[in-house]
Amino acid sequence: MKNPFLKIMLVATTMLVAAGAAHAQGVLNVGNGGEPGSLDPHQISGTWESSIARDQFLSLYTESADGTIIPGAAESHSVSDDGLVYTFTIRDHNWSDGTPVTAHDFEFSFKRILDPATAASYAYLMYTIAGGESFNSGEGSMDDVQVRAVDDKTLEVTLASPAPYFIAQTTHNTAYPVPKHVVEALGDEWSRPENIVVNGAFKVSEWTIGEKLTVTKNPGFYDAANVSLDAVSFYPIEEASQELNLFREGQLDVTSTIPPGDAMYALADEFGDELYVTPYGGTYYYAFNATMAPYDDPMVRSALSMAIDRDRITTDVSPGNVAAYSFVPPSISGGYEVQPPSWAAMSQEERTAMAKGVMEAAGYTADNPMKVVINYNTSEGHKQIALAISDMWAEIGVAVELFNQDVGTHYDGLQAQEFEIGRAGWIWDYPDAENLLALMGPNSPYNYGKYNNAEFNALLEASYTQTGDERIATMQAAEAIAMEEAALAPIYYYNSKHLVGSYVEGWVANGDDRHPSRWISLSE
Amino acid sequence: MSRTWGIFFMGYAFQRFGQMMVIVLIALLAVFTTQRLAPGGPFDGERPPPPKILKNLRAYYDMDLSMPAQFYSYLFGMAGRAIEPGGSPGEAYWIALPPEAEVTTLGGTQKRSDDSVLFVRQFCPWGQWFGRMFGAKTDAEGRPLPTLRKCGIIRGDFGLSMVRRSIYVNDYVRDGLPATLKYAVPSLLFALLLGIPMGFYAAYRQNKPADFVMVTVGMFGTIMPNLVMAPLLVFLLAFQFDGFLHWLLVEKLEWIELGRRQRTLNWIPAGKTGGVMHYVLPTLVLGTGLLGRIVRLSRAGALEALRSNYVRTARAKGLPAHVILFRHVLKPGILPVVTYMAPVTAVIMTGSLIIEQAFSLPGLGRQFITAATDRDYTLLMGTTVILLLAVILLNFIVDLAYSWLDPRIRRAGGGRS
Repeated sequence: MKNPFLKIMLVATTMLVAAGAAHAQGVLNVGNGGEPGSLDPHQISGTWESSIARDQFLSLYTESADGTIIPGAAESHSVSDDGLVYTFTIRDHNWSDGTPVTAHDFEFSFKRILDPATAASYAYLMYTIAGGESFNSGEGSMDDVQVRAVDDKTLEVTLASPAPYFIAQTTHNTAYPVPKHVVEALGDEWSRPENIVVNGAFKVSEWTIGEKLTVTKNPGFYDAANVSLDAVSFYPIEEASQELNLFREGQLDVTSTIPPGDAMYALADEFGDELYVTPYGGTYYYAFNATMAPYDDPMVRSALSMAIDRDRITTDVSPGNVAAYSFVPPSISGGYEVQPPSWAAMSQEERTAMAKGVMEAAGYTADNPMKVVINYNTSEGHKQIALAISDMWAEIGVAVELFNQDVGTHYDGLQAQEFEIGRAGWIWDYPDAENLLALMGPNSPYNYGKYNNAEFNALLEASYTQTGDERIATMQAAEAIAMEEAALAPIYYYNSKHLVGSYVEGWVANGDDRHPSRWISLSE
Repeated sequence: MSRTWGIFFMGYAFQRFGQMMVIVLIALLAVFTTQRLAPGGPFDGERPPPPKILKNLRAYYDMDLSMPAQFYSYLFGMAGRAIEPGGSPGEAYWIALPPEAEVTTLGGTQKRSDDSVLFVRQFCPWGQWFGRMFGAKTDAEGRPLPTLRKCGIIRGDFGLSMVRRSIYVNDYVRDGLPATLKYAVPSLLFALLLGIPMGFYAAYRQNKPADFVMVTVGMFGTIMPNLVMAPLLVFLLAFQFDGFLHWLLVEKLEWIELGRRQRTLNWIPAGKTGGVMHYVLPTLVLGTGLLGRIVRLSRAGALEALRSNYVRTARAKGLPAHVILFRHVLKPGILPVVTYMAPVTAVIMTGSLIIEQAFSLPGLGRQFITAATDRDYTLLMGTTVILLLAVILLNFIVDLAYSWLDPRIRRAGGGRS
């Protein structure tokens, strides 16, 4: 190379590029889908935040690689005969500063998240604990919350009503422990990267907002011998196409999702086994505003729901998801069987014909269509689905007007019943049918359409005092009623979609879409 | 620098500072009111909190105060709140507390005194604030200093993000502003180092094909919106020509060594901002956006200088071309470009919004957009103020540079505004 300029360029570029592209050994690069707002497990709400919290904190119970619930900070637990009192034995292990983790930390943590002054937006999940709801709403006091450290190793929790899903709930970040001694000393600043003390497999070591957050292995973790990765870097990339490009370039080992639409088919060809599409705990649905005519009529709602060709949506419009006829997804645990309405057994032509009959009987035809408005939050994907449904409904004499708003305003409208038909989605907080069925009951703020059926409400109410198979049967009966009445129109069950490098081991697709890094290793 | 220059500078700087404060205050008031009038709020989302929880959140962020009180406490950071006997936050007051009043903190984190009917909201005693400013981490007795919140922007506290619960707006600025500059500065340099020679060459070859080519090339970049340019360049470099460039840079010239599993060159900088390759696309997009104006302005400046009497005299004297260029044409020639540097800061800032979004760069512009769509009131106000200050400050510097470059302005006593 004779040109001196080229020589300089060569040296400079090689150095810089090599530095940028070099893969540190044992570092997993994860596309995380969003910027975490906090490292405090009580102050977070997004999946992109709980994935980081899961690596940093060990809850009473935790997840194995395939999502099965296994003991974590608790070695074992026992339940009283009435299903109300849970007694946990805490494992011998330490916070990352060497202080032992005790039952007092858990008592403190459960009371802290319920404290109205903490203003934790997910505190309501802990209303399962007796006294929790009244304390959180400013009526009761902290001492009335029925959680008690009997001694350093024994934690006793009394529930407001039997909740067989309570153990599953302890794997949610709202039930994670925070170090009492650090939080009391530092207040809200305890969770800043320079102050944070954890009991999980990894601890934050670097956080540049908008760029990446890195957690490195916590040598004080009780099972550190079985943790393979040295570090995990979480990249807050919101655009799926960017993640895809980075995965192609080998800069990401795991993506949070894939670009929407029929891109999936091409990706399946391109990546083969590296593309994971897995049933995920939730349902995409349309809520009907049952407080106004004609949506208060189960016949009208059923006709609208029936006319939606779900197979077309899940093959052409939003591929990679599964057509849904029930609100509870089939991947639910506990032996629950989903309850689709009777018309789900018919072919789509029969359904459309039947729906058309219903609408004609009510006086609506193509010439004199029923006018409805579909509200959705602004997004190309939601728009495509709404357009496809408009087409399907046009066949049964329904004229659709589309209305989109940003996500916050959209859901405000849903909660205030300022809509006719509204798009919504629900991902379960814990894998129990109750978490979804409650959305059609009288007490949930997320019963957007205010569906109200006395029989359904009674069954739901009864299920709270039952256990085992009896409880499952009651919940199934409740769902059967709501689906037959089309309380809402389920459209598809969510699938989680990831690209995962073939050399990433211990990453197992699972229905909760939780992948603790402590089980993951990298092969050459 | 002469003494007159110094006096001129002081008076001028003082006047500009006053203007700046007024502009910032007006901007703050505008952002504050418009965002609260816009539908939705910071606590909305896929799963808006139930009413009980929402009440706690609104109290935590002082949103249960009246609007003027909220604005006042944003500026000066002094809102008090009574604690009810049960320990829950009660009615909020809008008052200034004595600077060393005993304060129990809200946040469920510190023990509250039970007999307190007094003030809760964490606030910012001057003494502690000064301590923090100078790096103190503990008080006189060695206890860690409590969280200082609600110091008000007057004390440099932009508050806590309303959507991202544990991130201070100051953190966003600390991480975001350098990231924005990291791409803005190379883009500007790219545009200047390419644009000025192009403009001068075009002027030198006025009305010849070279002139036409230079101006056309420059204008192409300017006409093409960043929004289009970004995906276009990604498509061309990262996909269409990636194979060719790969062959050229990796195999033929061996300039670049690929990492494990790496199938393409690292064109796309999302998140990772390590290698030099990551600067290529953002710099091209933002830089070409400025190129056209700079070519045209430097061409015009050079033409004017070339036509001037002093250049004609220099030519007549038989001075060599490079002496004429550097001594007589360069300074007056780039004057129009320097003038343009004032508005260019605004162009770069708005351009940053787009390239940071397009390439997922961790800059302040991206936070600005996120804040606007999330209704993150405090973050939006904070980023607005910072971006505004950056534009104002750079304008100020450009004004000074301009009066230095052009003696006519200095002699006129700073009549330019």
